[in-house]
Amino acid sequence: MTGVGLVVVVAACATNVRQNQGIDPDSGIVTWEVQADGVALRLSQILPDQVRAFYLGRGFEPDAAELLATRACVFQTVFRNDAVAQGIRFHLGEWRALTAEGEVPLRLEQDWQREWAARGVPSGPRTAFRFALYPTEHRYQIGDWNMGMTFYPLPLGSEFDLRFVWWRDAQRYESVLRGVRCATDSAVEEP
Amino acid sequence: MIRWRKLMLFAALSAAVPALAAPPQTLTPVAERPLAPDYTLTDLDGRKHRLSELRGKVVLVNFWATWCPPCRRELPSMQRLAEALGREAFVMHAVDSGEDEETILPFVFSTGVELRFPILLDRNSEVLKAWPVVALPTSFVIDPQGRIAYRAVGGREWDDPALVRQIRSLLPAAGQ
Repeated sequence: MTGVGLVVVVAACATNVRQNQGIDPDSGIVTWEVQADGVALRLSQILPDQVRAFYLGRGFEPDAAELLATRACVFQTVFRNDAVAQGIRFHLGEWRALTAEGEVPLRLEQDWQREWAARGVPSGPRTAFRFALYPTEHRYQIGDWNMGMTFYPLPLGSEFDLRFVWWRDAQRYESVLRGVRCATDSAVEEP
Repeated sequence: MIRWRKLMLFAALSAAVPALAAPPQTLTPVAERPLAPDYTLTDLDGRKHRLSELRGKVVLVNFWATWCPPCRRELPSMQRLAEALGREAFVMHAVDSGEDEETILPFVFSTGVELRFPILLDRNSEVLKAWPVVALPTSFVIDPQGRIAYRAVGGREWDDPALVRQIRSLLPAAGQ
């Protein structure tokens, strides 16, 4: 019988953390941003109506676009390696929305793709969907970053903190973006 | 109505971009410089472009789409880079993923900048899938031997002196 190896990973909580928040005066969209130990994370609300319009424009049927707009909170997300010389890696499967009811994992691309396969969504919209979402996992050298949508299976209007995780080599780091609030469906009035 | 919604989305997402301080402008060297996957694609004027026919030149291959805010934001700086290196053995390909002329042309005219480098149509994203692209935009700098020398994940200010220096270092010496 082989021995059972025990791997203990000690997470380092980021120590140099700065968070701020802003509101776009034209759209009312709120943005939260945190910088922690050489990385930066920013979440901006995306209104359900914007989600509908975006995915209708990518070739999704109205019922699928409705699903995306109302089944989850959607945020435009930017995550960057600003100053970690050895590079970082991340997997969104490790990130959690921290709510009063408990920890909630993000709804990842693979979860949605199962839904699209079951619904028979064509490959064109599915490819567009893949590249519109924030990449599930990636490695960033210094200066690398992406912008894309992240999905949180929470009711519209929910509030939560986001615990985000990244790795430097074998060292796990985490920090928290506090006080994030999902947009609601009534936030925009038609002109 | 849909058009208005799209415009509002682009405005909202783009407006948020400057909130963060400018990221460092770097290109990441690619280990062992693998050979770049070849492609033949048509540009907006119907001309064909084959990557492997550009041996001897440095090529910036940029994967983008009109709906991607950082992609849109970096295009003017790509034009400035093209102008800065216009007399040298340098070529730029902006490979649009999954869209057609009807979508791309109005956007190109709306930038306020005359984009004079080829915008190539990868309508079914087949080229995109053949390259190591996880997200848009992603760019690669191809050396004169047709190998991937540098990678950039996310948008860049392509005329930043540090980036120009890195790209220029790959250019063949004059007369060679």
